[in-house]
Amino acid sequence: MNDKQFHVGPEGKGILRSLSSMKTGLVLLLLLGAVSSLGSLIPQGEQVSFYRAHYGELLGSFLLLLSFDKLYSSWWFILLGVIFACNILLCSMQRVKNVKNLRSAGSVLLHFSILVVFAGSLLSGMAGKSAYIEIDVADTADLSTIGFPGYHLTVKDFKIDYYDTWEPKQYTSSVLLLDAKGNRIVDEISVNHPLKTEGLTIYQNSYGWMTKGRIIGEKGDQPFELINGEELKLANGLILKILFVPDFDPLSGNLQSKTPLPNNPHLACALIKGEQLLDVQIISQGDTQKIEDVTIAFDGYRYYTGLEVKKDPGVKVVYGGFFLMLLGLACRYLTPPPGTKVSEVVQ
Amino acid sequence: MEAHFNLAAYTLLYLTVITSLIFLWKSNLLLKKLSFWFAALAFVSLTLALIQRSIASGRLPFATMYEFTFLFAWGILFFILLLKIKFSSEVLTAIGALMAIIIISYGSTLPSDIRPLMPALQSIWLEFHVVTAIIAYGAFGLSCCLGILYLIKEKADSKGLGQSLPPVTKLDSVMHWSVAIGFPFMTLVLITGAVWAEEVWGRWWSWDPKETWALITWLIYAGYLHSRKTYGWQGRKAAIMAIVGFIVVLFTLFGVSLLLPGAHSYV
Repeated sequence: MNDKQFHVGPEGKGILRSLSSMKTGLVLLLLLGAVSSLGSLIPQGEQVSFYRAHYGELLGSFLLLLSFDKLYSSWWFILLGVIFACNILLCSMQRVKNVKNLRSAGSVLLHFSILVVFAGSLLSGMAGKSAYIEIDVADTADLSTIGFPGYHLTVKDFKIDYYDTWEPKQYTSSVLLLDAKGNRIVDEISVNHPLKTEGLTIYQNSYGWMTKGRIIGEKGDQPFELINGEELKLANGLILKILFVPDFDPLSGNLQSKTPLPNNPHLACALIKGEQLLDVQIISQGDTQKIEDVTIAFDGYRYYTGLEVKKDPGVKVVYGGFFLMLLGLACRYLTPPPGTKVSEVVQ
Repeated sequence: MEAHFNLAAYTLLYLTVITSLIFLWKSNLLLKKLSFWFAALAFVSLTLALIQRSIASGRLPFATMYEFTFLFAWGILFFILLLKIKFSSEVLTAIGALMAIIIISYGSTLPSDIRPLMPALQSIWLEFHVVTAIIAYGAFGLSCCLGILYLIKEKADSKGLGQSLPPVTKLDSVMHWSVAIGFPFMTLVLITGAVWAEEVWGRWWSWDPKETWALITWLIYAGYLHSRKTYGWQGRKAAIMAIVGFIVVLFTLFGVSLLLPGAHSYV
C-alpha cells in the first residue's frame, strides 16, 4: 500500500533494489527466526558420531556438511545475518531522508542500533576470547597458559555464604591480579559481581574441594592431589576413587555430609578393580588407613575456585548498541504521534 | 494465606467466564457489571496472593516458574482490565479470564515451595528482566485475545457472538496498539537479559534455547509491525500473526522449559 513512498530505491537496480526492500527484510526476518529455531531443536556442539547415530548416516552427514552442529557460528548463518544487516542499513538510509520528527528519528535510530549490536557480536566472535580455569586457594596461576599472557592470578581465599537451609547464597573468591605492567589489583569476585579491569573480566563460575593425601609404600610415599570425585590409577589395574565428606556424621556412618562446612572432614576412599568394588574406607584428616593392600594417608583439603576469564572488545560495542536502542525506543514509543497522521488509520 | 487468595482468584475467574457467557446469551446490565467486578476482584486476589508470597519469602516473587506463571496470568488480566477503558466486550473478558484460568491451572501443578534466591538470580537485572517480561507477555496475551475476537467478528459480523463485538477496524487498531506496547517491552526483556547474562556468565548472548525463542518471539512481532507497513497486513492476517506470536510466547515460556532445557533453568 504505502510502501512505495518508503522503498523506491535510488538508482539501484536488481540486487541492490531487492536488498533495500522491506519485503526482503520481512522474508529475512522470518527466515532468521526459522533457522534459529532449528538450532535450538538440533543439539549443538556434539561429537560428529552423535549426529550420525541420531539422525542416520545420510541426514547426519548432511547436517554436518552444512554445519548444523555449530549452526550459530556457521558461515551461512552469519552470511544470512550480514544480508539482513545490509537490508536494515539500506532501508534505514532511505528513511533518514524522511525523518520529520522525534518519532521517526527514534524509529531510524532503533534500526541503526540493531546494526551496532550486530557489529559488536561480530567483533566478539572475531576478537573476543574466554577460558575457564580452576585455581586452588593459596595458589597462583599464570594466565598465559589459557591465552592471557602477562597476567598472574592468585586466589587468596574462597568462601561460600549459606542461607539457614544450607542452600548457597553467594560464592566469593578473593583474588590478586597482577598484569604485565606490574599493576596489582586486589578484589573479590562473586556471582553477578565479576572483576573488571582494563580489558579483562573474570567471573565466578564454579568451585569444589581439592584433597591432598599420600599412598604409603615401602619405597616411599606417593603424594596425590585430587579434585573431589576424581580417580587415581594405581599399579596392577587398581583404581582409587575418592569422595570428600566435609562434615562426616559418625552416628549414621554414611557418606552424606551433615552440613557443607568442613566441621569433621573425612575422605572416603574406594578401591576398584575393573568393574568390581574391592573395599571402601573412611579416613579422618591426619589419619592413615589400609584399604586391601593399599595404605592411604589423608593430609588435608582446600577449596578450588572455577573462574571464567574473558577479554572481549565487542561487549562495549554491543552495550553502545543497547544504549542507542533504548534511546530509539524512547523516541519512537514515548513521543505522541504528531497531529492527525496516525499510522493506525487506514483507508 | 497465599493459597486462599489464589483459590479466590481462581473461583472469581470462573465466575467471570460464567457471567460473561450468560450475558452474551441474555444481555443484562447486572450481569455485565457482575462479570467486570468478578474479573476485577480476581485481579485483586491474585495481586494479594503475590504480595503475600513476597512477604513470606522476603523478596519479590520473580524467581521460579511457579511464581512467573502467576505473574503471567496477572499481567494478562491487567491488560484485559486496562482495555476496559478503550472498549468493553464480554467476549474479551471471557476469553481473557479463560486464558488466565488455564495458565493458573498449569501453574498450580508446579512446585510452589518458597526458595531463597540462588546466587545467579541475585541481581538488580532480575527485577528489570521480569517486570518487562510481565508487561510484554501481558500485552501479547491481550493482542492474542483480540486476534481471536477479530476472527469471530469477521466470521459472524452481526449474529451470535459477533453481534456484541466492536467493528473489525476498531479490533484491529486496538490489537496493533497492544502489540506496539508489547514490542518495546519485549526488546527490553532481551536487553536486560543480555546485560544480566554478561554480568553473571560473561556471555551476553549464548544461543541458549530460552534466549533463542525469546528472539524468535521478538522477530515475529517485529514482522507483525513491519508487514502492517509494507503489505498493509491488517485485519485477518494480522490477527493470525498475533495469535501465532502468542503461541510462540507460550512455547518460549513453557515449551522450552519442558522440552529444551538450557542455562535458563529457573524459569
